Amino acid sequence: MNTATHTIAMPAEWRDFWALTKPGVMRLVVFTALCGLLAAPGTIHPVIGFTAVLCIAVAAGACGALNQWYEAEIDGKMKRTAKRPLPDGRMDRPAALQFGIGLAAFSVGIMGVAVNWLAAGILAFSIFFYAVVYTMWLKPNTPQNIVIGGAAGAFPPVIGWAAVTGDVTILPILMFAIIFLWTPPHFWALALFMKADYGAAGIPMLPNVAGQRATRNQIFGYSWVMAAAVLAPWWLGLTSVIYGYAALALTAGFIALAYAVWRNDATDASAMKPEKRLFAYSILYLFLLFGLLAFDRMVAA
Amino acid sequence: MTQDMGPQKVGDLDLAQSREMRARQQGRARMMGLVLAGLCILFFAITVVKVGVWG
Repeated sequence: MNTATHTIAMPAEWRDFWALTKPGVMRLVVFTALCGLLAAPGTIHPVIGFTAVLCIAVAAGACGALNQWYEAEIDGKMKRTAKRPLPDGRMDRPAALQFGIGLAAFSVGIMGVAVNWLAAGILAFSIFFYAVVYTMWLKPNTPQNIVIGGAAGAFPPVIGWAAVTGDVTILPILMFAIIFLWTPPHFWALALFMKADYGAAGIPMLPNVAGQRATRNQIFGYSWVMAAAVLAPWWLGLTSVIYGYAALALTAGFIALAYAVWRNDATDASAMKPEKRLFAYSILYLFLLFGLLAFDRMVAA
Repeated sequence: MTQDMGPQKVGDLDLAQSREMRARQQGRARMMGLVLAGLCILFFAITVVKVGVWG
Protein backbone atom coordinates (compact mmCIF):
# COMPACT_ATOMS: atom_id res chain seq x y z
CA MET A 1 0.00 0.00 0.00
CA ASN A 2 1.36 3.38 -0.94
CA THR A 3 1.36 5.58 2.13
CA ALA A 4 3.38 8.46 0.69
CA THR A 5 1.81 11.80 1.48
CA HIS A 6 1.15 13.91 -1.57
CA THR A 7 0.89 17.67 -1.32
CA ILE A 8 -1.74 19.76 -3.02
CA ALA A 9 -1.51 23.50 -3.56
CA MET A 10 -4.47 25.84 -3.57
CA PRO A 11 -4.99 27.75 -6.81
CA ALA A 12 -4.86 31.53 -6.47
CA GLU A 13 -8.22 33.31 -6.38
CA TRP A 14 -9.23 35.71 -9.17
CA ARG A 15 -9.13 38.49 -6.59
CA ASP A 16 -5.41 37.86 -6.19
CA PHE A 17 -4.89 38.43 -9.91
CA TRP A 18 -6.95 41.60 -9.63
CA ALA A 19 -4.81 42.77 -6.68
CA LEU A 20 -1.72 42.10 -8.78
CA THR A 21 -2.80 44.86 -11.19
CA LYS A 22 -2.69 47.55 -8.44
CA PRO A 23 -6.25 48.83 -9.04
CA GLY A 24 -5.64 51.96 -6.92
CA VAL A 25 -2.82 53.14 -9.18
CA MET A 26 -4.83 52.18 -12.26
CA ARG A 27 -7.57 54.70 -11.40
CA LEU A 28 -5.22 57.67 -11.75
CA VAL A 29 -3.65 56.23 -14.90
CA VAL A 30 -7.05 55.71 -16.52
CA PHE A 31 -8.21 59.18 -15.53
CA THR A 32 -5.15 61.00 -16.90
CA ALA A 33 -5.31 58.92 -20.11
CA LEU A 34 -8.97 59.82 -20.51
CA CYS A 35 -8.13 63.50 -19.98
CA GLY A 36 -5.42 63.31 -22.66
CA LEU A 37 -7.93 61.74 -24.99
CA LEU A 38 -10.60 64.36 -24.27
CA ALA A 39 -8.16 67.29 -24.50
CA ALA A 40 -6.95 66.25 -27.97
CA PRO A 41 -8.34 68.06 -31.00
CA GLY A 42 -10.48 65.99 -33.34
CA THR A 43 -12.85 63.17 -32.66
CA ILE A 44 -12.58 59.48 -31.96
CA HIS A 45 -15.36 56.92 -32.17
CA PRO A 46 -16.54 56.11 -28.61
CA VAL A 47 -15.84 52.39 -29.11
CA ILE A 48 -12.26 53.10 -30.24
CA GLY A 49 -11.81 55.66 -27.43
CA PHE A 50 -13.06 53.11 -24.89
CA THR A 51 -10.68 50.51 -26.36
CA ALA A 52 -7.74 52.93 -26.09
CA VAL A 53 -8.47 53.68 -22.41
CA LEU A 54 -9.03 49.97 -21.71
CA CYS A 55 -5.67 49.11 -23.29
CA ILE A 56 -3.94 51.77 -21.16
CA ALA A 57 -5.65 50.38 -18.04
CA VAL A 58 -4.63 46.81 -18.93
CA ALA A 59 -1.06 47.98 -19.59
CA ALA A 60 -1.03 49.65 -16.15
CA GLY A 61 -2.20 46.32 -14.73
CA ALA A 62 0.63 44.57 -16.56
CA CYS A 63 3.11 47.01 -15.03
CA GLY A 64 1.68 46.32 -11.56
CA ALA A 65 1.92 42.55 -12.04
CA LEU A 66 5.49 42.68 -13.41
CA ASN A 67 6.50 45.05 -10.60
CA GLN A 68 5.08 42.72 -7.94
CA TRP A 69 6.66 39.69 -9.61
CA TYR A 70 10.09 41.32 -9.47
CA GLU A 71 9.72 42.86 -6.00
CA ALA A 72 8.03 39.95 -4.21
CA GLU A 73 10.84 39.60 -1.67
CA ILE A 74 11.11 43.36 -1.05
CA ASP A 75 7.31 43.61 -0.65
CA GLY A 76 7.48 40.94 2.05
CA LYS A 77 9.77 43.17 4.13
CA MET A 78 7.49 46.22 4.05
CA LYS A 79 4.38 46.54 6.23
CA ARG A 80 2.54 48.43 3.47
CA THR A 81 3.04 45.68 0.88
CA ALA A 82 3.42 42.49 2.93
CA LYS A 83 -0.21 41.48 2.36
CA ARG A 84 0.10 41.48 -1.42
CA PRO A 85 -0.64 38.11 -3.09
CA LEU A 86 3.00 37.08 -3.67
CA PRO A 87 4.62 37.93 -0.31
CA ASP A 88 1.53 36.60 1.47
CA GLY A 89 1.94 33.25 -0.31
CA ARG A 90 -1.42 33.29 -2.08
CA MET A 91 0.16 33.01 -5.51
CA ASP A 92 3.43 31.80 -7.00
CA ARG A 93 5.86 34.01 -8.91
CA PRO A 94 5.72 32.36 -12.36
CA ALA A 95 1.95 32.89 -12.42
CA ALA A 96 2.44 36.61 -11.76
CA LEU A 97 5.08 36.87 -14.49
CA GLN A 98 2.93 35.05 -17.05
CA PHE A 99 -0.07 37.18 -16.11
CA GLY A 100 1.93 40.41 -16.50
CA ILE A 101 3.45 39.45 -19.84
CA GLY A 102 0.05 38.31 -21.10
CA LEU A 103 -1.61 41.60 -20.15
CA ALA A 104 1.23 43.62 -21.71
CA ALA A 105 1.09 41.73 -25.02
CA PHE A 106 -2.70 41.97 -25.12
CA SER A 107 -2.81 45.73 -24.43
CA VAL A 108 -0.14 46.66 -26.99
CA GLY A 109 -1.53 44.33 -29.66
CA ILE A 110 -5.12 45.53 -29.35
CA MET A 111 -4.02 49.19 -29.17
CA GLY A 112 -2.08 48.77 -32.42
CA VAL A 113 -4.77 46.92 -34.33
CA ALA A 114 -7.81 48.83 -33.08
CA VAL A 115 -6.46 52.35 -32.46
CA ASN A 116 -3.08 53.20 -34.03
CA TRP A 117 0.50 52.01 -33.87
CA LEU A 118 1.94 55.29 -32.54
CA ALA A 119 -0.21 54.95 -29.41
CA ALA A 120 0.72 51.24 -29.24
CA GLY A 121 4.43 52.07 -29.56
CA ILE A 122 4.33 54.62 -26.74
CA LEU A 123 2.31 52.16 -24.65
CA ALA A 124 4.91 49.40 -25.22
CA PHE A 125 7.72 51.78 -24.34
CA SER A 126 5.95 52.92 -21.15
CA ILE A 127 5.55 49.28 -20.00
CA PHE A 128 9.22 48.61 -20.74
CA PHE A 129 10.22 51.83 -18.96
CA TYR A 130 8.23 50.99 -15.82
CA ALA A 131 8.98 47.27 -15.61
CA VAL A 132 12.63 47.27 -16.68
CA VAL A 133 14.13 50.77 -16.42
CA TYR A 134 12.31 51.82 -13.21
CA THR A 135 11.56 48.59 -11.31
CA MET A 136 14.65 46.55 -12.15
CA TRP A 137 17.28 49.21 -12.67
CA LEU A 138 16.53 52.61 -11.08
CA LYS A 139 14.51 51.72 -7.99
CA PRO A 140 17.04 49.42 -6.30
CA ASN A 141 20.09 51.44 -7.35
CA THR A 142 19.58 55.19 -7.04
CA PRO A 143 17.82 57.67 -4.72
CA GLN A 144 16.80 59.53 -7.89
CA ASN A 145 14.63 56.50 -8.83
CA ILE A 146 11.41 58.48 -8.47
CA VAL A 147 12.65 61.42 -10.55
CA ILE A 148 13.48 59.42 -13.67
CA GLY A 149 10.95 56.67 -12.97
CA GLY A 150 8.20 59.29 -12.80
CA ALA A 151 8.28 59.29 -16.59
CA ALA A 152 6.62 55.86 -16.59
CA GLY A 153 3.47 57.25 -14.98
CA ALA A 154 3.50 60.34 -17.19
CA PHE A 155 2.84 58.54 -20.47
CA PRO A 156 -0.94 57.85 -20.20
CA PRO A 157 -2.18 61.32 -21.28
CA VAL A 158 0.29 61.27 -24.19
CA ILE A 159 -1.04 57.87 -25.27
CA GLY A 160 -4.63 59.12 -24.92
CA TRP A 161 -3.80 62.12 -27.10
CA ALA A 162 -1.95 59.99 -29.69
CA ALA A 163 -4.95 57.64 -29.85
CA VAL A 164 -7.08 60.53 -31.15
CA THR A 165 -4.67 62.50 -33.30
CA GLY A 166 -2.00 59.99 -34.32
CA ASP A 167 0.68 62.52 -33.35
CA VAL A 168 2.25 64.19 -30.29
CA THR A 169 2.35 68.00 -29.99
CA ILE A 170 3.27 70.53 -27.29
CA LEU A 171 0.19 70.10 -25.04
CA PRO A 172 0.58 66.32 -24.48
CA ILE A 173 4.28 66.95 -23.82
CA LEU A 174 3.28 69.51 -21.16
CA MET A 175 0.80 67.02 -19.69
CA PHE A 176 3.68 64.55 -19.54
CA ALA A 177 5.87 67.18 -17.85
CA ILE A 178 3.19 67.96 -15.24
CA ILE A 179 2.96 64.33 -14.07
CA PHE A 180 6.73 63.89 -14.38
CA LEU A 181 7.39 66.88 -12.09
CA TRP A 182 4.46 66.07 -9.78
CA THR A 183 5.81 62.58 -9.05
CA PRO A 184 8.88 63.50 -6.90
CA PRO A 185 7.03 65.69 -4.34
CA HIS A 186 4.18 63.16 -4.26
CA PHE A 187 6.38 60.12 -3.62
CA TRP A 188 8.95 61.83 -1.44
CA ALA A 189 6.16 62.99 0.89
CA LEU A 190 5.18 59.32 1.20
CA ALA A 191 8.83 58.26 1.54
CA LEU A 192 9.30 60.67 4.46
CA PHE A 193 6.61 59.14 6.65
CA MET A 194 7.32 55.57 5.39
CA LYS A 195 11.09 55.96 5.78
CA ALA A 196 11.44 53.02 8.17
CA ASP A 197 9.55 50.71 5.79
CA TYR A 198 11.73 51.62 2.80
CA GLY A 199 14.84 51.33 4.97
CA ALA A 200 13.84 47.83 6.10
CA ALA A 201 13.39 46.80 2.47
CA GLY A 202 16.75 48.27 1.46
CA ILE A 203 15.28 50.60 -1.18
CA PRO A 204 17.47 53.71 -1.51
CA MET A 205 14.71 56.33 -1.28
CA LEU A 206 15.89 59.92 -0.91
CA PRO A 207 15.07 60.32 2.84
CA ASN A 208 17.08 57.17 3.64
CA VAL A 209 20.07 58.17 1.53
CA ALA A 210 20.25 61.98 1.59
CA GLY A 211 18.33 62.63 4.81
CA GLN A 212 14.99 64.21 5.65
CA ARG A 213 16.14 67.84 5.37
CA ALA A 214 17.49 67.31 1.85
CA THR A 215 14.25 65.55 0.87
CA ARG A 216 12.11 68.41 2.20
CA ASN A 217 14.24 70.91 0.26
CA GLN A 218 13.81 68.87 -2.91
CA ILE A 219 10.04 68.59 -2.38
CA PHE A 220 9.73 72.36 -2.08
CA GLY A 221 12.01 72.99 -5.07
CA TYR A 222 10.26 70.49 -7.33
CA SER A 223 6.87 71.95 -6.38
CA TRP A 224 7.89 75.30 -7.93
CA VAL A 225 9.18 73.69 -11.11
CA MET A 226 5.96 71.66 -11.30
CA ALA A 227 3.94 74.87 -10.85
CA ALA A 228 5.64 76.36 -13.93
CA ALA A 229 4.76 73.28 -16.00
CA VAL A 230 1.16 73.36 -14.70
CA LEU A 231 0.66 76.99 -15.71
CA ALA A 232 2.52 76.69 -19.05
CA PRO A 233 -0.54 75.55 -21.08
CA TRP A 234 -2.32 78.77 -20.00
CA TRP A 235 0.70 81.01 -20.67
CA LEU A 236 1.15 79.44 -24.11
CA GLY A 237 -2.49 80.05 -24.99
CA LEU A 238 -3.32 76.34 -25.19
CA THR A 239 -6.08 76.70 -22.60
CA SER A 240 -8.40 79.48 -21.46
CA VAL A 241 -8.58 81.39 -18.19
CA ILE A 242 -10.92 78.70 -16.81
CA TYR A 243 -7.97 76.35 -16.55
CA GLY A 244 -5.54 79.19 -15.82
CA TYR A 245 -7.21 80.59 -12.69
CA ALA A 246 -8.29 77.21 -11.35
CA ALA A 247 -4.78 75.77 -11.87
CA LEU A 248 -3.33 78.83 -10.16
CA ALA A 249 -5.56 78.33 -7.09
CA LEU A 250 -4.96 74.57 -6.91
CA THR A 251 -1.21 75.01 -7.32
CA ALA A 252 -1.12 77.70 -4.62
CA GLY A 253 -2.59 75.08 -2.29
CA PHE A 254 0.08 72.59 -3.36
CA ILE A 255 2.89 75.10 -2.78
CA ALA A 256 1.44 76.03 0.64
CA LEU A 257 1.44 72.38 1.71
CA ALA A 258 4.94 71.86 0.29
CA TYR A 259 6.04 74.93 2.28
CA ALA A 260 4.59 73.36 5.47
CA VAL A 261 6.63 70.22 4.71
CA TRP A 262 9.75 72.34 4.15
CA ARG A 263 9.24 74.05 7.52
CA ASN A 264 8.67 70.77 9.36
CA ASP A 265 11.66 69.24 11.12
CA ALA A 266 9.96 66.16 12.52
CA THR A 267 11.88 62.91 12.30
CA ASP A 268 9.14 60.70 13.69
CA ALA A 269 6.38 59.59 11.30
CA SER A 270 3.66 60.39 13.87
CA ALA A 271 4.67 64.09 13.74
CA MET A 272 4.60 64.27 9.95
CA LYS A 273 1.11 65.63 9.41
CA PRO A 274 2.25 68.13 6.74
CA GLU A 275 3.82 65.28 4.74
CA LYS A 276 0.65 63.19 5.01
CA ARG A 277 -1.47 66.19 4.00
CA LEU A 278 0.72 66.90 0.97
CA PHE A 279 0.58 63.26 -0.11
CA ALA A 280 -3.22 63.13 0.15
CA TYR A 281 -3.70 66.54 -1.51
CA SER A 282 -1.32 65.71 -4.37
CA ILE A 283 -3.59 62.88 -5.52
CA LEU A 284 -6.70 65.09 -5.43
CA TYR A 285 -4.69 67.86 -7.09
CA LEU A 286 -3.74 65.77 -10.10
CA PHE A 287 -7.31 64.51 -10.54
CA LEU A 288 -8.71 68.06 -10.44
CA LEU A 289 -6.00 69.55 -12.62
CA PHE A 290 -6.37 67.05 -15.45
CA GLY A 291 -10.16 67.15 -15.15
CA LEU A 292 -10.02 70.92 -15.53
CA LEU A 293 -7.63 70.73 -18.47
CA ALA A 294 -9.90 68.32 -20.33
CA PHE A 295 -12.99 70.38 -19.47
CA ASP A 296 -11.36 73.60 -20.64
CA ARG A 297 -10.30 72.08 -23.95
CA MET A 298 -13.74 70.55 -24.52
CA VAL A 299 -15.46 73.89 -23.85
CA ALA A 300 -13.04 75.63 -26.24
CA ALA A 301 -13.70 73.03 -28.93
CA MET B 1 -5.16 33.20 -16.57
CA THR B 2 -2.76 30.40 -15.93
CA GLN B 3 -3.64 27.29 -14.02
CA ASP B 4 -1.02 28.06 -11.43
CA MET B 5 -0.78 26.12 -8.26
CA GLY B 6 0.09 28.52 -5.47
CA PRO B 7 2.68 27.83 -2.83
CA GLN B 8 0.21 27.10 -0.03
CA LYS B 9 0.96 23.45 0.57
CA VAL B 10 -1.67 21.32 2.25
CA GLY B 11 -1.70 17.63 2.86
CA ASP B 12 -4.47 15.30 1.72
CA LEU B 13 -7.59 17.33 1.16
CA ASP B 14 -10.32 17.10 3.73
CA LEU B 15 -13.86 18.08 2.90
CA ALA B 16 -13.46 21.77 3.77
CA GLN B 17 -10.28 22.09 1.74
CA SER B 18 -11.83 20.30 -1.18
CA ARG B 19 -14.76 22.74 -1.09
CA GLU B 20 -12.39 25.68 -0.85
CA MET B 21 -10.41 24.50 -3.86
CA ARG B 22 -13.58 23.91 -5.87
CA ALA B 23 -14.88 27.37 -4.91
CA ARG B 24 -11.64 29.02 -6.07
CA GLN B 25 -11.66 27.12 -9.35
CA GLN B 26 -15.29 28.05 -9.95
CA GLY B 27 -14.63 31.68 -9.11
CA ARG B 28 -11.75 31.85 -11.59
CA ALA B 29 -13.75 30.03 -14.26
CA ARG B 30 -16.67 32.44 -13.84
CA MET B 31 -14.37 35.47 -14.01
CA MET B 32 -12.62 34.12 -17.09
CA GLY B 33 -16.02 33.55 -18.72
CA LEU B 34 -17.05 37.13 -18.01
CA VAL B 35 -13.75 38.51 -19.37
CA LEU B 36 -14.03 36.42 -22.55
CA ALA B 37 -17.66 37.46 -23.05
CA GLY B 38 -16.66 41.10 -22.63
CA LEU B 39 -13.84 40.70 -25.15
CA CYS B 40 -16.20 39.07 -27.68
CA ILE B 41 -18.52 42.07 -27.42
CA LEU B 42 -15.60 44.52 -27.63
CA PHE B 43 -14.00 42.84 -30.67
CA PHE B 44 -17.38 42.69 -32.40
CA ALA B 45 -17.92 46.42 -31.75
CA ILE B 46 -14.40 47.30 -32.96
CA THR B 47 -14.93 45.28 -36.13
CA VAL B 48 -18.26 46.98 -36.82
CA VAL B 49 -16.68 50.43 -36.31
CA LYS B 50 -13.63 49.58 -38.45
CA VAL B 51 -15.67 48.34 -41.39
CA GLY B 52 -17.75 51.49 -41.15
CA VAL B 53 -21.23 50.10 -40.60
CA TRP B 54 -21.95 52.77 -37.95
CA GLY B 55 -19.55 55.34 -39.38
